[in-house]
Amino acid sequence: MEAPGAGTNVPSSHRIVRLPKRTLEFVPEGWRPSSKNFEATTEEKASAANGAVLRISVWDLELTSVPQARSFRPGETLVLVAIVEAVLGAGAEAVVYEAVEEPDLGRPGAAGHAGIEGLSRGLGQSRLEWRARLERIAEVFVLMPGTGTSSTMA
Amino acid sequence: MLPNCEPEPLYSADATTDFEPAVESAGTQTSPQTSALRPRGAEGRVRRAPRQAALVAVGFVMFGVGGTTARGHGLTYEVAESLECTGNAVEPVAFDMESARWQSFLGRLAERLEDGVVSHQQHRQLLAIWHEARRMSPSVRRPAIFVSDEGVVQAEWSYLDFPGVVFTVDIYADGKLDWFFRDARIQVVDGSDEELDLLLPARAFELLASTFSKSDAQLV
Repeated sequence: MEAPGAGTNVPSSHRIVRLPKRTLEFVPEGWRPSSKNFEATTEEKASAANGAVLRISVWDLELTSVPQARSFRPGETLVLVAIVEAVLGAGAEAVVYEAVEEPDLGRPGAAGHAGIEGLSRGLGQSRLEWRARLERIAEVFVLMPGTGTSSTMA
Repeated sequence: MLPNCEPEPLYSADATTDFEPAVESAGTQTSPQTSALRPRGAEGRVRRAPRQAALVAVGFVMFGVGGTTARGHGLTYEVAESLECTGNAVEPVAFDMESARWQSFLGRLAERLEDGVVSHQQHRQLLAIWHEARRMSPSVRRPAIFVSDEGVVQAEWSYLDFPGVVFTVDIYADGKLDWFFRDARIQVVDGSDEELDLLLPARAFELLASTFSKSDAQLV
């Protein structure tokens, strides 16, 4: 499938997945993802280092399957799912397609790579205000059932 | 015995006041784990509570933190240093799957320490925070525990039935802490700001204990 143009909006009805690299050691009953899963990784910060907009990496499930998305991130990851409309409603500025870099460009599922904009800490914004904003966005994501990274999953 | 494992509590001088120094009863041989937890009667002799004995008999011992059940037997429990360090303390609790998984996690945490995935400071901080939270509120819920890609141990109190409410603690390899609390219901946000903490402040424990304790209806 042809990749949507970089920077174009992911349709609001689409589901997206975030794959945070965190080793899950224990999960209690009824746990929901916190904002820790939406802080920029070292790679994401590096991508934005040259003045580009900071985007938190996600995948559009209309264009990329969960196994395909996971293949781009070797190692253990969580799989957190949300609908774009809810993410925008929680305060994200945009969810836009973003081309993966070579040599991954032609790999299956590459077309669905996207990024959430508006999660960086604003100028003059306190750390607590920024964390609270991330929390509002985290609240619309859920852990995809059966996709935990540990035998401790309920 | 884990290397460099220091059993003294970080947060409360009386956090282990339910525990008395170990006294070996002559001629008694038990497994390493069961020998670490022994109820003591008023006469000072070490003996085993009926409930614990039954649990040992079926080869399955569960331990929790607090004192209610132990005192209910008219006994106090002593905890050997090894179990205190691995967090497998202190009292038998009602069986449920989450308790079992939590105990399994605590065992794996000790392995993570030995493997070098978790530092001694992280291990000690996490157990101290958990013990202090349970001391303040024995029914406080268990957190999700992660180790990030950067080696940060992260504890999260965040639940589907508590929308808008979260408490997180990041424990860095040197033991420094970054905590955050938000309760959207009452518009409260608190936590570390620009400086990391060496200890969780008392107000953090108060928020944790008062917000995430199970109600009577939720208790098993």
